[in-house]
Amino acid sequence: MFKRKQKEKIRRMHMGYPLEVKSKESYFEKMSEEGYLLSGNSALFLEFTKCEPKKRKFHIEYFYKASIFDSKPEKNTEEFIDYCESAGWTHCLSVGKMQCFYTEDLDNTAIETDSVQRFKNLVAGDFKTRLPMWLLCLFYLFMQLIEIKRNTSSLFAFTHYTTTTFSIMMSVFWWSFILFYLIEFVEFMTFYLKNKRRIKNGQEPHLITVEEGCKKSKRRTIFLGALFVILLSSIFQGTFMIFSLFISFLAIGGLLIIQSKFYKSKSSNRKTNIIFTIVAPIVVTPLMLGGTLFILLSGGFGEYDSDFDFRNTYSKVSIETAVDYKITEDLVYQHVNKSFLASEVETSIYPSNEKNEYGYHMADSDLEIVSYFSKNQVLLDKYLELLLDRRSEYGLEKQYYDWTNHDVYTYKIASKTCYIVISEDRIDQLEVFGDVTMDNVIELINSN
Amino acid sequence: MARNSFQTLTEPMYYVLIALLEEQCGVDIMSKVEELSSSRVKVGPGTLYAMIDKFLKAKMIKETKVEGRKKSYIITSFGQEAIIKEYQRLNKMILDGTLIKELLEG
Repeated sequence: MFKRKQKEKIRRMHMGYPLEVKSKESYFEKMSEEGYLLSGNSALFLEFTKCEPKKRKFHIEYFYKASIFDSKPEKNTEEFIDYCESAGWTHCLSVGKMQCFYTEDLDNTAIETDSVQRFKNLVAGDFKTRLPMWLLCLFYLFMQLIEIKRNTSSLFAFTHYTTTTFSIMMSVFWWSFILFYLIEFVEFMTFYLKNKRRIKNGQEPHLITVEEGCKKSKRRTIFLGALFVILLSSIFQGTFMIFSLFISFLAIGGLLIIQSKFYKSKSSNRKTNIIFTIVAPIVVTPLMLGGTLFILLSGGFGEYDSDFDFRNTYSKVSIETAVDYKITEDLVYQHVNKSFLASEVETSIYPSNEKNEYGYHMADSDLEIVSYFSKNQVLLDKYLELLLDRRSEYGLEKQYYDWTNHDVYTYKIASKTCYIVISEDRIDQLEVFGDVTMDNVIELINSN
Repeated sequence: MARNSFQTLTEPMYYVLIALLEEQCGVDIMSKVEELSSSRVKVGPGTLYAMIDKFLKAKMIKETKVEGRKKSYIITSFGQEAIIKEYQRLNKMILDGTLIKELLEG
């Protein structure tokens, strides 16, 4: 019979929290029976080395004296490992607080025979593991609520617009992300309080069983996978914000890989790891933002996406007009083009209210003016004046339409057609999205 | 505060303190406890490590010598007091249970 040759080393992604320790142990035991012994880790993966297929008992301990920054056992942890090894357990992996042991003697005494102590260790380990994500989630939630209250557009203002496919996707993405981690927090607190009461009543704490742990792990994998697909598909919308977000995700992934390499190096210890963990994001973030800005300035994004002012939205058509600007000129001049991430961030400084709800920004990579914030009529006029001054350069053609007596210049940016209407006292710009003409739009408006 | 938590000793705590009536190296305590309790009580290395830590903080035991990573401990007078109290409490419980003895003897 043909037998498939086993690889010497394999890697498996395993997402599980300390409280789901039983399902982790069970997974390692299953791998050992299949001939792979847990031997190391790198970034988000666990490494397994080929071994004699055998039943082995695994025990994972979240050692309370170890730090999450430990890449290898420090003095205290070494002492603890000595205790365990003298009791017949073999140490096979050390990642932060997590210490993994196995034994071939299936009747060997467990490392932690005090269930209350084990519960306390696991809860402490679990809390510290999840805390950064909960804080991040809380921060996002806070930012979302602020954005909703101020009704402005910034990197966090995805959730309250449902005017485009992109907006809907981002709403689903952010709210699902926040809700998921909020649910996990509630679950954790319920678990903790229930067990605390059990301990108080002299009962043994109830740890998450293998089946429960597997279910939670599956749920998490499916959920995060689905979110990633939404995020990935949003990229095809080609917007600046999603691109910036995607770069951030890539940077975090890259950072994890670099961190993993550093943790394995000779100079790695608790102190250097803490310094690395603090310094690395400080170095990477400006690089990431710099890269984004470079692409932005080199015209790589084409046009910006704007969710503003979809006052007349029909099935396929939306019109944007820029009228009724109430923000003072000085305020805009103070901030315009000063922000690092250009107008998307600039807009966030302007509170939107009833008097000032029609602003939107413009960008055209072919123009010298990369981004213009047009909540201010003066700036919009200046933008249009510049555009008109260079009309031949940018291929603006004067056209006549039956929906207006004024002069109209048209030009196209990606999927939208812009109509610059010059009247006696003002210049207006109308934008029509999709494969429709202004006549179609007028017809549609009249029919409604 | 730490001392209050040892007013009543758990079974493993009681045996660990008995084992430390003689100077013992940390890892030898586990086998000593097993020997003393005729294999009835087993203390895992993780449990023992945390317990020694707590006893040291409560000054119920003290470190006697360090050889590399190997540390030896012995009970202190405060630890002895605690273990005597526990012994007396258990004895009192036995004496108070004379009715149970009668029940057993039928």
